[in-house]
Amino acid sequence: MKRLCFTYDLTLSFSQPVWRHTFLFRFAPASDESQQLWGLDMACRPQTQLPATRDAFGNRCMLGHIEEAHESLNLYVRGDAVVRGEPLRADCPAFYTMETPLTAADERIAALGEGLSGAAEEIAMQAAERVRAHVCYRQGVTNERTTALEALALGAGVCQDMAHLLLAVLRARHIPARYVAGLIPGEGETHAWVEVYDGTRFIGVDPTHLCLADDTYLRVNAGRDSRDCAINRGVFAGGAQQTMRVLARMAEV
Amino acid sequence: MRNLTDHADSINRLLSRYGVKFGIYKNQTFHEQLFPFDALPRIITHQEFEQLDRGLRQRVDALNLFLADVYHEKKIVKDGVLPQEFLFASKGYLPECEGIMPPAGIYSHISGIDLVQAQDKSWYILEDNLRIPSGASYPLIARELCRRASPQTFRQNDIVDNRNYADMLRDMMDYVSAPGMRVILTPGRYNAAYFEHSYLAERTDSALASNADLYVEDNKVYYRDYLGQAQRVGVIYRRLSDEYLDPLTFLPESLIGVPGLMNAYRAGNVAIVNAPGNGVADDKGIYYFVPRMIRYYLNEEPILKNAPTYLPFYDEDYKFVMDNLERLVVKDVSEAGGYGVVFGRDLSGERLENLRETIRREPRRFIAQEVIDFIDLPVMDDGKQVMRKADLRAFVLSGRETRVWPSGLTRFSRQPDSFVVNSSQGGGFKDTWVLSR
Repeated sequence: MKRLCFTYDLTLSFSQPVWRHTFLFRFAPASDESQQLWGLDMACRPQTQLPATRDAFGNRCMLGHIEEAHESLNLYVRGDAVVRGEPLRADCPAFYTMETPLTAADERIAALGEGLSGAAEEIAMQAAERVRAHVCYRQGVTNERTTALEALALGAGVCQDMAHLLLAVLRARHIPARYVAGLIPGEGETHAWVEVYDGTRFIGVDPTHLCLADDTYLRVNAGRDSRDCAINRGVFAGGAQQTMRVLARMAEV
Repeated sequence: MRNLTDHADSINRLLSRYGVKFGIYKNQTFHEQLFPFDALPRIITHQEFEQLDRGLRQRVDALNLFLADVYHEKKIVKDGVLPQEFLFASKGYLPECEGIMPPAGIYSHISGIDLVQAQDKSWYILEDNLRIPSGASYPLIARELCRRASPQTFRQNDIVDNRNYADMLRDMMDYVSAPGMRVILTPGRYNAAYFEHSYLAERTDSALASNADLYVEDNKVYYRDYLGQAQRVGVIYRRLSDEYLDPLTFLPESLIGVPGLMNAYRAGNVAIVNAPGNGVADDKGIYYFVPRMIRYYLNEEPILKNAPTYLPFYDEDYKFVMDNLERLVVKDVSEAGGYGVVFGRDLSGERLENLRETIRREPRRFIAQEVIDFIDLPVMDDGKQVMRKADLRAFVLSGRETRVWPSGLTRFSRQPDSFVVNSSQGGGFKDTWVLSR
């Protein structure tokens, strides 16, 4: 069990003013059996109301609307958590066995899952090793629309690509699994890993670091793939270019 | 009848002047074409309609219960009535809609149920349309023009007045509405049914809006009028499909949606007519299971029959379809509007083989049905009466209660040997009279 403190700082900058900006912000980690949250603080500049709802995947999302022209948007969250690092007991919705465009499989992907045996987490760990043998960690070669198939063809990618590929391999074997976006200790962007379902529990497997998710993994969002877990999605009026800067920080206390 | 057929030309001229048009896409370009009106009405007897009325209400009630179940407990799957893989492989099932309970628990507010009448006069359901069934405005406006052209016809015959459609629609919208105004959301004038959007907005006293007129703030939807004043919206009769509805939840590249709408909807602050995600219940593959749904949810025997249908997904049916392909009609479950419908008897040896191969590769994608020899109706063609295949789209509205509109859209094929009557395939339409006794 670890006690962790985190901050998340997102800034969108626009090359010229935008207005009528509606955005969905998904960064409100929730308490459950495996992690406990408190002291969650959130700020938005320009100021606006951020009413929360839970989406179909159980993630809390805040909807904001800024009518007036603005050149940047800043969202800041801080909070404390105690993470137990034990698999989460829950029911598994059937859609976690369905492939999505980002996690579609072909024969090559299916082959990565062949001949593996054991419990769900053992299969997932072996599959993760195979994924890592085919895809090396490299930043800047993929983007948020890169599919598992493309990442495999490239042979390179980041944590999101590794997670998509592992999901595709598992789902091709009809093993339910979901994408998780969250934080691990350190500074930088958010991290992504996979949770495989063993019939009663979601077990976190990190294909990037080739380990099981332990008590330093804070879950923020879960979904079928990265699209369901996108921390920010927005639509605005105005022909501006948008640049995004993210600084996520988490440390043990 | 003479009275009406004499007026057919002037009625068609008026329809054209009022802009009663139907847009279609052909070879990637948009054409607006008239939807030809035939003055000879289809006549449904009082007795016949009573049976249709009971059967349609029963069917739509079961479909609404099914939708609530699918997006919540999925008891129908747990109880083994519907195979799980079947449900989740359906393109119409939207995981994004999981757990949403729409206002008043109604998913399909406006159901367009397509039926045909066989030679022995029994009715068969061909398909359910629970997403955005269009077409009610055509018989509605045609009836008005007919009444004007020949008022005595409607005095001398016992025909149920069908001019209450807009009132029924409005009552239903008010019943499910959150606090706020009524809006009809259109994708714009290049939509095939734009005429209908504007007509129904006027008749139901709703604002006709495009996405630029709407925005979401504090999880509530607002309409910005021409003075820039914002008004809360309680119910949206949307005429754009699910995937374009909200770019923050569905297709991010949608330019015609309302960002944040799904959040307001999930929070219960606005009603969406019809509910997003309904496609799972009018999937041509799910159609097969509707009689089972009626037994399962209502504990009743289906009053109206399905056309005999086979699912190649099941081994037994697969074998039957492969052996009898030349006499069946095969439908691609993901297509609508008469696209993706193939009659085995129209195919040559090689093309029949190709179809077999396609079904072999993707059995879940198709259903096969017996061809129902449905009745022809008389149609005026160049001054002569000819017989043409016709179907009926019945409109069922679900609000405080489930009601069948005592009329409907009768569509007919303009080609002598064709069974395809869809307006997007160049068919025409008739008024549908329900007799009051």
